[in-house]
Amino acid sequence: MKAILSVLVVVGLCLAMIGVSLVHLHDATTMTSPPEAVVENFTREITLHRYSQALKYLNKDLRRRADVESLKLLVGDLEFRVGEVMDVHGEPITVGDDEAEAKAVMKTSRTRFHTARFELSRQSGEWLIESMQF
Amino acid sequence: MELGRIAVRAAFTFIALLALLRCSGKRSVVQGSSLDFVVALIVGDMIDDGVYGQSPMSHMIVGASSVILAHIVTSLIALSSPRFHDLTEGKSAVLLRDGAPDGAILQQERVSIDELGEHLRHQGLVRKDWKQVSRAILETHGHVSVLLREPFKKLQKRDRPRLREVLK
Repeated sequence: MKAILSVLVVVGLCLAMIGVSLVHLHDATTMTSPPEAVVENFTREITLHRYSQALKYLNKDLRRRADVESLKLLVGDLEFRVGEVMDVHGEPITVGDDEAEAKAVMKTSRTRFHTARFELSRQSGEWLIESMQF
Repeated sequence: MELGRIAVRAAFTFIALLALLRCSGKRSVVQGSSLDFVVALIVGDMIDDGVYGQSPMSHMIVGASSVILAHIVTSLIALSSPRFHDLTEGKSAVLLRDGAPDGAILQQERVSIDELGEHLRHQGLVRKDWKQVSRAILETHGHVSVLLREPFKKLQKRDRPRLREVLK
């Protein structure tokens, strides 16, 4: 029981430290996934057709408007224009306290490279996608 | 800048995991049973995502601590139930008894005679010395324990009076 309690205490302390870093020190990229990692993960999930996994990267407003079907349509249109997406990497454009812009650079089979731009905002310390342009 | 962030995340991960492993007790790191191996494997993979920023640090901490908590609970259950212990960690097996290797057990544990010989050589026993061995036991964490037969055991402190009598 002592071991279980001490693990819980350590977890509590770690989460408190992360919370302080995010809320009071306005950390936007160290204790949370930076915007470029979020857009990279999102783009990777949708291009691998794991649409429901990708929804967690969207903010509340966008999640209300976008669903699995609309992501399917987005990827279908993208693949029609640029071919199959072979690789993705995210790059930051601007990172503020609560707003950021980032891009996902995709290596594609037809056009070689294609870039998608994203606007992100922070909710409960985490970066979430607000809008995107493929 | 990114390198600095990776360094901070790695340092935080190091301290957090060190604290979690210290809480889970010595057995998580000292022994090498199947349970401990599974913990090392899963936690190792989680750290990777946290350090490189692929997932938030809070996810990594909660994930790693859940695995460590599961490990503690499983070891506590294994401690009170021998059957559960055998199920999760396996049983030790006697590979060699009174100098003779047990072919069926060796086959069951997929240990060749050469490998058994290698384990015994680590204890300073070559093939002609096998008759000195009472039991060679493959323990659940993969090590082979060797118990020598009575006449070949090393002298202990308690043997001193008998030795004095013999030498008189």
